[in-house]
Parts: sequence; C-alpha cells; structure tokens
Amino acid sequence: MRYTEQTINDIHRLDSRKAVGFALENLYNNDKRITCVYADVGSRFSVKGKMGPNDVEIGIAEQTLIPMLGGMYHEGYIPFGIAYAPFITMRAADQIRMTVGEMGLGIKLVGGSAGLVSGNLGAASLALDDIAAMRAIPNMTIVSPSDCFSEVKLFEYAACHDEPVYIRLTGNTLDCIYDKDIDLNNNKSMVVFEGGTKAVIYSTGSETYRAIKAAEVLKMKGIGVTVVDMLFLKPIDTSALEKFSAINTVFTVEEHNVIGGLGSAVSEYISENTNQTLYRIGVNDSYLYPDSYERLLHATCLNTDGLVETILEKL
Amino acid sequence: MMDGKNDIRMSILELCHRLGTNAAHLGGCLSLADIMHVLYSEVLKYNHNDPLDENRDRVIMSKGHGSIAMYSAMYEVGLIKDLDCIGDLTGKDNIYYKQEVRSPNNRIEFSSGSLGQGLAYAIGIAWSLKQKGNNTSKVYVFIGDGECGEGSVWEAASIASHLKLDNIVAIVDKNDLQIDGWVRDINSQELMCERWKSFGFEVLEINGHNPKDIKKALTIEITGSPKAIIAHTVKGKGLSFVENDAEWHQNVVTDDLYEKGMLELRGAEGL
Repeated sequence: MRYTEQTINDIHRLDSRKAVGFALENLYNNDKRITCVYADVGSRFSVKGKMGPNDVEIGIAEQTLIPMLGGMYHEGYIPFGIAYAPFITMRAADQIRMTVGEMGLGIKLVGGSAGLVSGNLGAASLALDDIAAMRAIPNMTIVSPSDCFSEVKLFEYAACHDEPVYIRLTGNTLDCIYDKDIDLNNNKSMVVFEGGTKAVIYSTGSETYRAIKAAEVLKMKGIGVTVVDMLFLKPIDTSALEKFSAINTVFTVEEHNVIGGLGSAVSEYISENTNQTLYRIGVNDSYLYPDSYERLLHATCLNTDGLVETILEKL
Repeated sequence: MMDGKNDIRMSILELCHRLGTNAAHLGGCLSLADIMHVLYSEVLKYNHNDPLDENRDRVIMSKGHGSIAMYSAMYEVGLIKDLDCIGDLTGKDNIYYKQEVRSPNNRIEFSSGSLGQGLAYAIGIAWSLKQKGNNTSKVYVFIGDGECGEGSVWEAASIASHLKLDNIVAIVDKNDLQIDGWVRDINSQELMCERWKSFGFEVLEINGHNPKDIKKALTIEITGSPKAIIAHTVKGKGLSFVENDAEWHQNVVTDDLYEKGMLELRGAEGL
C-alpha cells in the first residue's frame, strides 16, 4: 500500500495499540482473507467491529487462540491473533511450537505491551523473554516496530508474506521516527542516525527513539555513533551487521532480557564473523518489582540518560 | 464378537509390527478401531480424486496415538492404496507416522503429538467453514480420555459451544486407561458426559465397539451446539494379550506377538 504524508502523520497520532486496529481494518478492506482473533483485548487494540464478520472474540484463552489461528490458515485465511505479549508467547508456547514450528502455518501473532510498558502490573505482565522463546521456534519471523508507522508497515509485511510472524509491540505512545514511506521488502533494518563510527547501536522497538536521543546527546559531547533500527529480530538482518562490521564497538539496546533477545542474536553473528566488542543493554536476567514504566526504564538504564551513561562508561 | 470388522485390526497390527523396536500405540488404536471403521466406511464425506475437496469432512486426530487406526481405516476405503507405502512409519521421506504429521495433500489435516490442541484447531476450521458458507462439512475430532486431563481441552470446549460450532463432532475414546494406569486412579474423568454437557455440548454416550450405535451417534444431526460422543471402549480391544493392559499404551509388537495376534484375529473372523 502507498501512504501519503498526511496519512503517515495521522498514523503517528495513534499509539502502539490503536495502530493495530488501523492496520487490520486497512488490510481487511483490501483482502477478505484477513481474519482476527483476540483474547479479551478487542477494545484495547481498537479491532472490535473493524473487520466485518472476520473478527472473533474468544476471551482469555491464548492456548485456544493459537491452534484456532492454525485451523483458519488451514482453510485459506490469513489469521492474526492478538493478546498481551507474555501470554500469547509463553502461555501458549507449546501451541506455537506445534502450529508454527512443527506445522509451519503462516499465522500472525500480535503481542501487545511487550517489554516494560506494563511495569505497574508487575513481573507477570512484563514480556522480557518473548523474543528468546520465539527465536527458538523454527519458521518464526519476529518483527519489532519502533513507531506507529513502522508498525502499520510490519502488519502489511505480515499479511503479504506466507510465513508465521510474531509482531512484538513495545511502548505505548510512540514518537515519530519514519515520516516518509519505507520499503520493508528490501530493508529489514533502517539506519536512523548517522553520527559517526565511534560505535554502532543496534536497537529495537520503543528503545530506538531513546537510542536516537542518546546518540544526539553523545554527538553534542563530540562522540559520533550510528543507530540502526532492527525492525526484524528473526531472521536478523545480517547485511546491516556486516555493513558496520568495521566499527569496533557495538551496543544492543532492547526492552528484553539481555539473554536470548536482540543482544544474543547480534552476539551470535559477531562471534562467528567479526572481531567487534559487544555490550548488551537490557534487563539483566531478573524479574522486576511493580513500578511505573518511566522508573523501570530508569532502573534498567534503558532511558536516554541511562543509555548515554552506559555508552560513555564502555567507550 | 467382532461383527466381521477385523480387517481394520489386522491392518493396525500389521502397521504396529512394522514399527519394530520403536514401539507402537497398539492399545489406543484398537480401542478406536470400530469407530474409525464406521466413520470412514459409512459416514465420512471425501472425494477419492481430490484430497482438498472443499466439501470433504475434516478429521483431526487430537489423540495422536490413534493415528495408525486412522491410516488403517483410510486403507480400508482405498484412500491409502497400499500399506507398503506407509513403510515403517519413520524417516523424512515418509508421509505417515505413528503420530500424524500434517500433509493436506495426503488427507492428514493436522500434526499431533502434543495433547490437548486438536479441538482448538478444529474450532479454527469449523469457524472458517461456516464463514465460507460451507454448511455441510463436519469436523471430527478424536480425543482420548487421558488427554482430557489437559486444561486446554476444556478451554477449547467452552469456546466451541460459545461460538455455536455445530459442525464439530468431538469423539472421546473413553478406554479408561492411560500410561500410568486407570484414568479413575490418576485424574478421574468419571463424569465425562456431564463434563461435556456442562460445557454446552450435545452429548451422546455409546458403546464404541457397537457399529450400529456408532453410526447412529455419528449421523444424528445437532444444530446450535457442538456434539460430543462419549464412546466407551476397551483399550486393546480384540487382542487378548493387549486388552486392558496399560503396558500396551505403547509397546513393542515382536514377531511372535504379531503371529499370535494375527492368529487370534483370523480365528475371530472364522478364517
């Protein structure tokens, strides 16, 4: 689909949840094979009633949701399932293992409120292990939008590609990173800040905006770094990792455990292909006490100040 | 009293023997044998020439251990031409495994092996059929009574009835045994009919070895709610050394046992 600047501006006024309803309504209007099943999140994600007869509420039942999407795919539909990230991935991990890993069915999983955004509800509601779990399942593609427009584009990617996709939604209101249309068929990652070669930062999801802000601060301090938005976490965009393989110092930034997520994916590439030094910034293998999003970002050094401080310390 | 229905049991024994030391789910296949025979030979809608015919009925073997009974029934009606093409049910070039692996072109609609997922998959199919305006095809789902220990069975049951998916027919193979022994000693499912009724299913209770009962239950039309057939069966039915023995949930069919079993089955047929 083509997007005018006006439409892109309108999309940026949404938040990561409302963008789901916007994206799916558009996709459904273009292709009646698009269906949507949601686990008591239809109003939260603005999908209820947006897809004619093709959206189904099933209540709090993620373990039913996944095979049900599989059955719909079996019958020729392009089914999207929406639930909160920790539950659609970990609660239903075995169902995903069978439906996506074993059968390879092209279902689309939308995990809302991934990362730290639901921090005030406590560790149960945080998805800090979802990338790790989904990465270990064969056939799975994992995408992670950094703003509302890239989110809409990644929904479009998921609908147009006959493969299983996990769409990881972090953050809530998201600042604009892409104000012009982007081509995701050829680009699985985007260079979003070109400050220099002192270090390269690979970031994902809502952390990308903070990484850009941190890079701006570092630039004012005379330290030039480059920020790459990793919109795809699996398969990881090795062309981007190769492109910056001459930069000695690498940082990864994610709202996820430092084990198993973006940091691990980059580490796997670097250990086999380059001589770079990698520092992974994320949650250090712990569950967190209930607290506001802002305070959790601060506690994990994932806010802009924390990123600047950590990067300065390592450089 | 086998009522002349031992061909399917011979096929089951034959295929289970081919697994050799890989061991076979002989008990749970024999408990399903009569239901499978009646379903495929008298009830199921399929197109001999087109495995993907939109108007076919779908069969989901949620209790994956019953897959060999399903292949044997498919062989009986000619949907599998030759048991030899099944080989030893292993290897990447095979189509048929002791727990089914999805292959729609070969009429295998689902991959099983992780229990408690078939009914949820059937919901996706049943919903889709209605959405496409297909009001004639049924979705038959085979579930074990031991399998009913999985909470996901009941999560799916609740949603199937809420969505009024009256094209779903859940068949519970109530053979009362699971690996560790009698189901009633492990996690009692004794109120099986009441359980399914309370989840909104129309429930029929039958003797799962009586062909007339089976056919009647399979063909009764229900509207507005999904149907559950609680089939009382005997694990290992038809072979004296297998019947009601939990060891035969999965066990090795040696050459000697194979010969002994075939003799028993031929004897019962009066051959």
